[in-house]
Amino acid sequence: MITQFANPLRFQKLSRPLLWISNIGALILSLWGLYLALIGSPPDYLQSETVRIMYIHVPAAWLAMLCYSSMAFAALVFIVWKHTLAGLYIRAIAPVGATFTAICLITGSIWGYPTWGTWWVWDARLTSVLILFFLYLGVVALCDAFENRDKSLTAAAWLCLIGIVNMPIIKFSVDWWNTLHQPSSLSSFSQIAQPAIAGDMLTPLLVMAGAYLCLFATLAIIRLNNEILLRKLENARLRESRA
Amino acid sequence: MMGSIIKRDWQDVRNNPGQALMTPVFFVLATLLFPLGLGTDPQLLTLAAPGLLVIAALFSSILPLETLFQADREDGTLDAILSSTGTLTFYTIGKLISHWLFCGLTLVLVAPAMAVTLGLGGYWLDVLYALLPATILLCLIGAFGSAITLGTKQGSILLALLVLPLYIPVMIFCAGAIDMIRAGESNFAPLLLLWAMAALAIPIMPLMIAAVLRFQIKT
Repeated sequence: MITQFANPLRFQKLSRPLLWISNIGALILSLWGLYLALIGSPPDYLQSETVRIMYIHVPAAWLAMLCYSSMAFAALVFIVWKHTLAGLYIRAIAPVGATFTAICLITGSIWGYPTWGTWWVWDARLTSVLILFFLYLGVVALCDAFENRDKSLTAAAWLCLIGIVNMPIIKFSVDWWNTLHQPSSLSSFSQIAQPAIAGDMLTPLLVMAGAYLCLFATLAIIRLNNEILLRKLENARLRESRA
Repeated sequence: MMGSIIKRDWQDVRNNPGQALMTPVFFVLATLLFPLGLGTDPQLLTLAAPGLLVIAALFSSILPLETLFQADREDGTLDAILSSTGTLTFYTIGKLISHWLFCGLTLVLVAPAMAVTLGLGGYWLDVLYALLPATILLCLIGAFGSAITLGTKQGSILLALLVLPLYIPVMIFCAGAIDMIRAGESNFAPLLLLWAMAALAIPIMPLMIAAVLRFQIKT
């Protein structure tokens, strides 16, 4: 099953219609979500208008974690079964994940100043997300560290695997340490059925999350296709120089 | 196998003590520089001492990492061991033990003296207790970083980028353990967390480092 989809040619063929869907989805959902977030939803009774930062901040944090988890899974596949596509996925997605993490950190900082009165605190959640950002930078750096491209990918994959210990720390940091960052309002499916936030704020949040997800899918497909083309080009050059 | 690696590393240390004991020497120098930079106010120093000791330990433990596996890779020792025994696990365990003995344990042993110079004299035993699991973790994480960047173009800067973020939890809990004792509280919780992390890392990390060294040699 996995081996079928690991074929680069098949991936290129399958990804073309998917790219259209995710592209259009990202466009529609982000326009709809931004309208709901900026105009259609009420201001918070405590935070007034600044609560609108949440619609950018929270989905970025979700996607930052999703990117890393998927990268770690790809790392496992790459190390165990040596599917080149999984290795190229790490290389393609690491800068995307780093950007989502940076968006999360920057918007969080902008949100923190009016609500907490400070741009940055050394809270457990903030620190663990900062570590996540450095892990992404490490993976990006390792992807180009060696002359041999497969060796670089393997090194990056091992770092992805080690860094997975950071994921539960980020997830549970708000429960384990009672510091400034608020606990999650949507941590399980039962909470989505009976959420701790009001419905007219939940809808734009979920729509924005959908928009981010579509954007992630679009970027992943385009970047992975580019990585495949680059690899083919390099192989062709190598063959030419040998002949 | 493990014993012969440790014995060989011990002979290296005896032949070239300056190189091998770079870590504790740098640790002592760095700690002695802090009072000169911060000012000699005893109260300020006592407050800052837990963090300063851990930061000094962290930076000094990065120093030997770049060359940790380099010599064995370049002179073919790793190739020979891999092709004759088929596994690098026992080599890695031996190497890690000698690495911790010369770069971790020596640091733990000089740390109480440094605690005295920073005005933590009354708590020298607690400094020792906190640094013991912390140095084990620093050595294991650092060796992983060293293995994964073996033979890269960027070398030490890449190594620091990879290893320092992974060091952060160790630093937080080690400094926390010393600081809580200084403030008169019980430091049981951070010490337990440090030992828990060490208990997780000691069985897993040698296997991972051996696997990383294996692909480094094979490709």
